Amino acid sequence: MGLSLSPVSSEEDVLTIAETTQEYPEEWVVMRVTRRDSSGQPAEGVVLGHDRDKVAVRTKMAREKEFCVFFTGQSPIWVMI
Amino acid sequence: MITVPISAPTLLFAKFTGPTGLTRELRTLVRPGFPYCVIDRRDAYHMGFLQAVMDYGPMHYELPPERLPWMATVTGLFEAPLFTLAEVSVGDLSAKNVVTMAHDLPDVTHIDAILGETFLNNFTVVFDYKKRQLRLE
Repeated sequence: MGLSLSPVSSEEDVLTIAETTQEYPEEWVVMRVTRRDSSGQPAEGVVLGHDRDKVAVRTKMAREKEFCVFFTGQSPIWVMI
Repeated sequence: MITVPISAPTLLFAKFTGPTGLTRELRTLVRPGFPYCVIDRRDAYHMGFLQAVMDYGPMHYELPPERLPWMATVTGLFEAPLFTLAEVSVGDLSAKNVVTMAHDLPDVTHIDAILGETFLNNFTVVFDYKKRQLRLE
C-alpha cells in the first residue's frame, strides 16, 4: 500500500488504464504515459507510484517534472460544483 | 478534435503546465459555466504559486482583489486565489496563459481539477446528449 518512488513496474510492465485500475483498486496512481488514444487521452503507461492518500502521492513526487495522476475508483455520480 | 463519452460526471485528462514548465496531467471535470479552471492547491504550489497554500496570511492578501474572487456555489461561498498557468491542454488542443483558481475540490469527488471557461472559451465545445458525446475542437 505504501508509496513507491521508483517505478513499481519495469519498462516492460506497461499497463493500460483498465489494467492499472484492476491492479491498484481505489488508489491514487502516478503514471508516466507511454501511449495515448486517438483523442490524446492516456491509454497506457508505467506506474511510478501509488497510494491511498492523495496528498502523500503528490508530495513524494513533487520534484518530478511531468506525470499523470488519477484515482482508480469511480467518482460519485452526484458530483456538482 | 477531441471526442469523449458523456458520463456522470463527464471527465477527461488535461495537462496543466506552470510557469516553470512543471506539468501535471489530471483527471478533470468539464464544467461549462464555471468561469475559471481549478486545480488543487498543492499542485498549484508545486508549480510555483506560493499563495496557493497561504491561507488568509499576509501573502494571501497581497493579491489584488481581482485575483482573489469570491465564488458562489450550490453549497455556499468560498474565496480562492487566481494565478496564470503557462498552458493547459487536452490532446492536441492547448491554450496559453490560462487563468486558474487554486482550490481543493472535496476528496470524496476523486477529481483533481476543473476545466472551466478560461480554457473552454478557446474552443468549440459541443455536448451532444443524443450521441452521449462531448466534442472539443
